[in-house]
Amino acid sequence: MKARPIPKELVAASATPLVLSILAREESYGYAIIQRVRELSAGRLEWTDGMLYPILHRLEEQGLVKSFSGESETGRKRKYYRIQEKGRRALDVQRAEWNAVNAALTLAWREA
Amino acid sequence: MTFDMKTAIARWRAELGASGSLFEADLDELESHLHDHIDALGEVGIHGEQAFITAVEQLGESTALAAEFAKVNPLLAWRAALFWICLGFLFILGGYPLLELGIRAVVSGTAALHPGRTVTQLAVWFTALGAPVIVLTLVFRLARTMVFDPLPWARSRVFRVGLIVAASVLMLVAHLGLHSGFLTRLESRWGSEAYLADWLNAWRVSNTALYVLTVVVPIQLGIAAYRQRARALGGDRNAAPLFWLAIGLFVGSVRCELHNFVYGAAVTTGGFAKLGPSQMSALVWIATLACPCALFMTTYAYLRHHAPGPSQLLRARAPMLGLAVSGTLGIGAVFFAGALVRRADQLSDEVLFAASDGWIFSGILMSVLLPLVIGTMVLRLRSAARLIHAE
Repeated sequence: MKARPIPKELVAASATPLVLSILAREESYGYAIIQRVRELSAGRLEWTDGMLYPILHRLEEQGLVKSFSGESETGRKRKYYRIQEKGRRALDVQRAEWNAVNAALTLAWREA
Repeated sequence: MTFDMKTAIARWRAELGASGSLFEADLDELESHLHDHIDALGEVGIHGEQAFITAVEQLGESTALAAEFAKVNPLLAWRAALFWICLGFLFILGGYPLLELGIRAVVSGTAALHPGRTVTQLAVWFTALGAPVIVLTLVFRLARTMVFDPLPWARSRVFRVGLIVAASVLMLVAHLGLHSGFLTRLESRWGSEAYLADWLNAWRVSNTALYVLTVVVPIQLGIAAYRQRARALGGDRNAAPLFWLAIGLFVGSVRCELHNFVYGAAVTTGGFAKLGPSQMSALVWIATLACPCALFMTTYAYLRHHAPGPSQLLRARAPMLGLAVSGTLGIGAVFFAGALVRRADQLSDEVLFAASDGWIFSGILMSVLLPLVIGTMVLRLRSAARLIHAE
């Protein structure tokens, strides 16, 4: 049986920490980030591809990531993103928050 | 018909671009994404039209995408509305010195020709009150005919540059003419006592008429804004630009009043602080230049970071309330400034001259700089206004 896709509220809430985590590992570009999210969630996090870009732009405006132009393997112009120190700190905060949520749920389910 | 990938992508890009919510760089990035996805599909054996359709579908529906981008690029969503606001502002900016010149001409003309009391009064009242009200009504008529393609003749570059230069030169000439004493010298050539007495009488009438104009214009524009808003809410797409035009005209006319008010307030403050002539001049310069700059910057910051989209703001009641409040304040400011400056008459002549010189020359500087800045904005925003309404 194919697993149900995750509801869009959860997708939206997890988008920023996911993007930051992927960029924390290495600099990347839109299409590759989306592919990575699919891999990580085994296809359960269904993104409408275009929605990633406004998120990236907002992160850049907040100074968490920085964009630079590069080239694809075939020589096409492509916009890459790189995480900033401020972005790493924001990711630490978000990781602590998600861990807290995760820990609470785990405890609640263990008691149940 | 064979499928052509290049044409298909170009058409998709044009459609998304027409929403007016995306920068060219945003479109570049999305197009690059589309290519990446199409290449990846090619590797698993999906080519041509099928690959294009799959990639576009996965990228998301254009309207939803445009709405998402509009949230990150609030200034872009504001371009069309800003165009009409700036246009209205520019109109008042250029129109007001022309009105002052016109009044001056009528006052001097009637004093020279002695056409009798009634004719003089009629002529002055018509120039100072009737004409501006009629012109403003005509402006809305004219704007309605070009909602979909505003200022069509501005497509020519010569016209654009010429317009801005001509406006700045015209402003400079009008202000220097009005304030440098050139007109006064010309008028004093006729200088008989009868002429001077008539001139003063007509001048007083024109001042009264201008006070009435100060009250009438914000009310007229407030009503226009209210009516266009109601039409826009009723689903009339032509009405929203006219609403923003009314707002621009309104802001422009209140600005003239606030400029006077800021001057009055600065002079009075300086009077209380017992400033010397050069200090007073500096204070007036700073106050009259810093206030509009601060206003401009806060508006920019608001639009950039906090503002809801123009259509949301049009629906909200707060701007209409803001219009009423600022209109009342503007009208109040004129009368209050009059009282303040009368109070400042107790200051020494030297200090008062320094203050009024500062006011006049900062006014001249503004009247040359503002048309340059706002005019450039209008011309740059024009294509955005056309795109968004031509959707």
